[in-house]
Amino acid sequence: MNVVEVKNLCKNYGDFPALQDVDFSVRENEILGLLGPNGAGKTTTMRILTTFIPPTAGEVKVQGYDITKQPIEVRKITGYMPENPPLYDEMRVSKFLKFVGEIRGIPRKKLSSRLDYLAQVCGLEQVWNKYIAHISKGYRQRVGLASAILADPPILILDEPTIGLDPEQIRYTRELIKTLGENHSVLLSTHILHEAEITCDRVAIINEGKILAIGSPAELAEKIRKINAVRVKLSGPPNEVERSILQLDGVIRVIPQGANDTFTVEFEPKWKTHHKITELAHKNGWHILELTPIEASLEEVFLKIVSGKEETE
Amino acid sequence: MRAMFAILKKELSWFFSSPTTYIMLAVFLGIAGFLFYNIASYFAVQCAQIIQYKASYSMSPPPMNANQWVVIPFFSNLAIIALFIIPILTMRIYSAERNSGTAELLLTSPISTTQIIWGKLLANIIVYTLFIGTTLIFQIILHIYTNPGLDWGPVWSGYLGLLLLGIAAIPLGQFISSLTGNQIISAFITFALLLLLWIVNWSTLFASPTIAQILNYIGFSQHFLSFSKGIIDTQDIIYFITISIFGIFLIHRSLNLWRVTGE
Ligand SMILES: Nc1ncnc2c1ncn2[C@@H]1O[C@H](COP(=O)(O)OP(=O)(O)OP(=O)(O)O)[C@@H](O)[C@H]1O
Ligand SMILES: [Mg+2]
Repeated sequence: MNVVEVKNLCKNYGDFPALQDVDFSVRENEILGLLGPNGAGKTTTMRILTTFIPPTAGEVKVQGYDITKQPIEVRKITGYMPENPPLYDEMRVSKFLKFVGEIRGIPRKKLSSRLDYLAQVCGLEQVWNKYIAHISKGYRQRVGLASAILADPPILILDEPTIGLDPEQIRYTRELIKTLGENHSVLLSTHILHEAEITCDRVAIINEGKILAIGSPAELAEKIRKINAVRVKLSGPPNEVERSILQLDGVIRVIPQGANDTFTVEFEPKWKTHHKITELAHKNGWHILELTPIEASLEEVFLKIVSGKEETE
Repeated sequence: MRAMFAILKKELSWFFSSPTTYIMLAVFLGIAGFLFYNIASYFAVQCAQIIQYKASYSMSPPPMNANQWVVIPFFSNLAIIALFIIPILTMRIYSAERNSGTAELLLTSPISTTQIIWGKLLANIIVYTLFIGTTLIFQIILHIYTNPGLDWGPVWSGYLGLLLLGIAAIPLGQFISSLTGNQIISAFITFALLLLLWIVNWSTLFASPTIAQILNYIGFSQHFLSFSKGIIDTQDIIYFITISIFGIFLIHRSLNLWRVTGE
């Protein structure tokens, strides 16, 4: 079942189109990652989904509630952690979370036990009675996360939840999100590939306001394998090797590497170009010093998709 | 309701934990005290002259009355100080939320715009009431040191006037605060607006009678003056409440421009 349904979502800031026909959905109890470089439109998407800013066009439904028509209902079931956690510097951590609990309508009795639980789960015991102005960036991030999950809403929207944390905290936060993802539907944004790969069930790649690809990390990697690549090193003179490989059928491009005697050759799979390279070597009497297939990592998928090197169907 | 009280509590605890509030209160009481001292001294000098006058001409002196000579002018001065205080009380109320990004927290929480507005309005009105309430000390001093003391009726109606002035002016200040993330600009524009509303009827001298009437009606001062003289007129109460409702309406509009309303 789709918990969040986004259809043809557009957002213009003045004349600037920040989002163009964005379509995706978040399934129940999955972690969907919005992966994209700076300025891709991740924060804009999340602000619309959490009813902070209105969309210019398109439709968004959160558990069936339309974000522009029933925003209060949407707010009740979503927990949101903005990019820079909004905190009141003059409050103590404990007071701030209590305040959030009150405006979210958590019953008084439940609230205090929930606060104890969060202090422990989010690792806030150390700073519990400190003024927010005096806590470090990493702790601010944790307080932000705590305030998003405070009312235990079924849908969590987390904007770059691990930014500004130290490695230990990053690992811990990712684990926490994964645990939450077992019984929450999570939409998180990140510009770190590795994070998307290890935390998310599915990843939507977004750039310049458009969703370029969506699928599990494995599916996305599969997509890129439609272009095959091999690394080749032949004993012939590099110039000649490059020129003759380029003349083979199906070769898309040849990228010199190392001391310019090794090449990455990309080709369309149906041409079986790697066999042709073997034949080529034989014909010219060159030795094959290296001929290894290259597996695409999500990183390459991302870079290729974002830089428009691959056509997505 | 609970959310509104949460916001009210948050605002009040900010006011009471912030040194700005205490500095402001000290300055406010200092200026009020200075003005009170001057007005009361002038009254004392007048009384002394009357006694002399009475002694030399053995005639019955014109009646001297502390309400007339001290309380009424003191209230006019208090109203003007209030117009300085209100912009400082209201300047951060929305500007700060806008600036620090906490608006994102409030506006994506499942609470109505109305709850946010009332929490914030009540907070400002309570602090304002405490501020003007402290000046009661001067009235008590006057009561103790004059014979036969004060007529308290007009004093209470004067305070009612001050309270209504605040109830009318605070929403206007909060509306302006909701328009900008800059607190200084917010305070400055609010002050200019309130001052304009106070002095707008000065130009009645040069205006045609109908316009003069309108200006007198629009401005704060004529309505406030009745209260300070001890006249409680429903017309004046309606005037202040109308301005207040208008201000609240503007805040509503402004916040709904920030957020998705679903209306
Ligand atoms: N309020 C605004 N007014 C005008 N343009 C805006 C506004 N907010 C965002 N933009 C523009 O919209 C685009 C998308 O911004 P957005 O903040 O959604 O990106 P992002 O993917 O979250 O980037 P980052 O990784 O840097 O957080 C950017 O080009 C940005 O400059
Ligand atoms: Mg962002």
